[in-house]
Amino acid sequence: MIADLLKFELKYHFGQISFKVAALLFLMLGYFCAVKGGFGSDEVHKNSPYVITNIMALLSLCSIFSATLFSANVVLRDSMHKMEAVVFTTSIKKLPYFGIRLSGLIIAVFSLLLLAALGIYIGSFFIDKNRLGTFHPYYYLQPILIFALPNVLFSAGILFCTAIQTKSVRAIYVVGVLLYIFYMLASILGDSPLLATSANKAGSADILPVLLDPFALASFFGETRTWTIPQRNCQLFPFEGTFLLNRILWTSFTSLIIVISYHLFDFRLAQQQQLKVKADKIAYPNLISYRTLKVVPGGIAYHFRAFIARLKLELIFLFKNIPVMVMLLLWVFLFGTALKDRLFSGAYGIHSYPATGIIIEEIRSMKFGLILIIFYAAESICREKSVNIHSIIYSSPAPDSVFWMAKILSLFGLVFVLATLNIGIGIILQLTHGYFRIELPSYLSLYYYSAFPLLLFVMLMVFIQN
Amino acid sequence: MVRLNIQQLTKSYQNGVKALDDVTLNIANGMFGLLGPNGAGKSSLMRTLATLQLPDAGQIHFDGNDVLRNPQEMRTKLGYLPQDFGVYPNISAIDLLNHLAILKGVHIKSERVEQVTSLLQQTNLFESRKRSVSTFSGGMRQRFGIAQALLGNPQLIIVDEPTAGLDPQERNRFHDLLSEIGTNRVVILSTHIVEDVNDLCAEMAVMASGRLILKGKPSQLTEKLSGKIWRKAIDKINLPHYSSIFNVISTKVILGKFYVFVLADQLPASGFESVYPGLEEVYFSSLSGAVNLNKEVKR
Repeated sequence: MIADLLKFELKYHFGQISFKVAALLFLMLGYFCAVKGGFGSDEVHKNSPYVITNIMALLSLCSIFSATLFSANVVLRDSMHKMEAVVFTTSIKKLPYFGIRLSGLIIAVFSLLLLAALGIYIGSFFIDKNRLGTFHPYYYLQPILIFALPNVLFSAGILFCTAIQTKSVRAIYVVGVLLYIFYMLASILGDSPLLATSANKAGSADILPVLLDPFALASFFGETRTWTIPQRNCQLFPFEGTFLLNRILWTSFTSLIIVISYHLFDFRLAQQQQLKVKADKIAYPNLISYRTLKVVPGGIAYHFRAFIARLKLELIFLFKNIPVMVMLLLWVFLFGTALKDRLFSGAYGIHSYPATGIIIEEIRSMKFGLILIIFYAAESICREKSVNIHSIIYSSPAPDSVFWMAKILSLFGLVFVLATLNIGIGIILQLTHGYFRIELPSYLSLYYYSAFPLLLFVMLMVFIQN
Repeated sequence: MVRLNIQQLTKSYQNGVKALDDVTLNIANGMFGLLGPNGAGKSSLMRTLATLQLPDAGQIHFDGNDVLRNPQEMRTKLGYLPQDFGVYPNISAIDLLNHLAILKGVHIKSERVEQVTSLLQQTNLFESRKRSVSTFSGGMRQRFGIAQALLGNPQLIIVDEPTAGLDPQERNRFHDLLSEIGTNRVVILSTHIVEDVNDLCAEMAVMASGRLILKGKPSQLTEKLSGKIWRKAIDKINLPHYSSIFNVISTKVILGKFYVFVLADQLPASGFESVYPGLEEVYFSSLSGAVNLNKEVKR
């Protein structure tokens, strides 16, 4: 029975469109990293253990995203599609249920990394023979075992526990983002060479940041920084010392979380939230009999009122959207840290003065903003359909333009908030570093130079998704 | 006076299912019941009337307006309760009703407040008005759906399985409200509960596999079957035997006994007793295709 259940679980995972897209993506990522990626000098073989480990370690970081997506789509399927009452009353016991769901998720996320390894292998056939070393299966196997597997266990394990405890899609996304923040924090503390600015700093890393990085990228990059070319070509990453300690630490941490989560998981329907029904202090009004009213569903005044009503609703959805708000916080945090790092401890120890021009140059492009806008636009545009209120809303006399205008304007609101946050970061950085000549007009010009292109992008996106 | 005129409406879905097959109907003020088994095409007809999908062929006119060509005009007069609907999360009942009232063009604030309050009272949701609709139970949500369908000034009210999930008390309450409203506007009630149509509707039609197989007044339709319905308590294993000999329209367990209902002009065999037909028998006899009452009504 267990085998059959696991088979069903995997079939469900592999049947998801998100899985298929991710599988293709990882395969291609593996291929392109191998073929196009630059890893030190030309003498480093493109299929050397160093390169393979490097790619696998980096791609294993992406398991945060795949695990988040699969937890939301597959692990939560019972509560999301209201199957819990049916599934929980079958004869399946808690342990098999829990175990199969967990292993299904781990296998699905892990298989993506196997595909990435396959992509690297395929890529090696398309590389100039002079740049290749000898093929050795262990060069692939070792990074899969010491980087991919523990990292998948970590991210899938934590996200699985979140899913099974909270049964909330939002919580999963928030934890996914938090894992990423946590990783970034560890990287910043550990001067990870992944952050552009840290690359050329001297000094050896402390043991604490190396341990703190749950994906062990800090140890890899820290240690291999000084490797010679022959070392990179022939030597496997040594599984010892702080790196070993890191792997043991995070794998046991994950196991502990899973065990605790298993004991807390009660395999029953979630209790209906007890709603606080506020005692109504207002006197109960007299019974009013129903009568129909004269309606004016036309004219400028009507369109304006309908538009304002829609906009109000859209703005409520935007600003009460926890994932978006968490990501905005993440943005402030990451961007603030990165900017500070770039200005005050730049490449070769250059220390810049926090002049407005320099800061604006740094904050002008808003790539992260684009991700956030794509994320939110997809949610906003499909909202009526996804909550299943579309048949009521779209059979009302309000014309389509009212709905789309409100959606576009709320997305503009998001762009505005992003630009404002950016400017805020810049000004605060100046003020906290004793630079008081704030050139506000230059800052305001950012609304044109960095927000305006995003506005055009929003229009394009809404147009396409329509 | 005919207000809603549907002509030769045809709609096929991409999977080959013919949801509507040459449906022609004329509906006047009052309540109109639309009966039919699951998958008969009732909801497809409702969605088409609610301007949410276009038919492949055919025409719809409401008060002379060509609905398919000018759906906007239809929407200003429409009250629609879909069979299955959801709501935005974390928006209270009163706020959402108010929002929908604005979309429907109720422009004077005091009137809006009055109508929303009145509808909340009528649907017994007044005390829960500040709760988010998404936390409502099935019956409460259904009542919310009824309330929103009556906002503004609906002239054509389309309710798709409105009493599904309502307790008997709420169901009666809803029937009262509907029949009160239905006197000077068109109310189309789609259901598979025969009793509802019997209690409420002056006119009715039966749909099956996308086709209209019967229409008329419930009282006349039952009258036509009077003296033609027979029943007998039998052993269940003999059902194939009876089905092969007689025109069995339905079977039913009554007080633990298994009855067959047979349509015949005179006593089919000994042991049968005559039954005064209800709407249920009309429904079953039309579905079994035994009599084409459709023709008789037209004649």
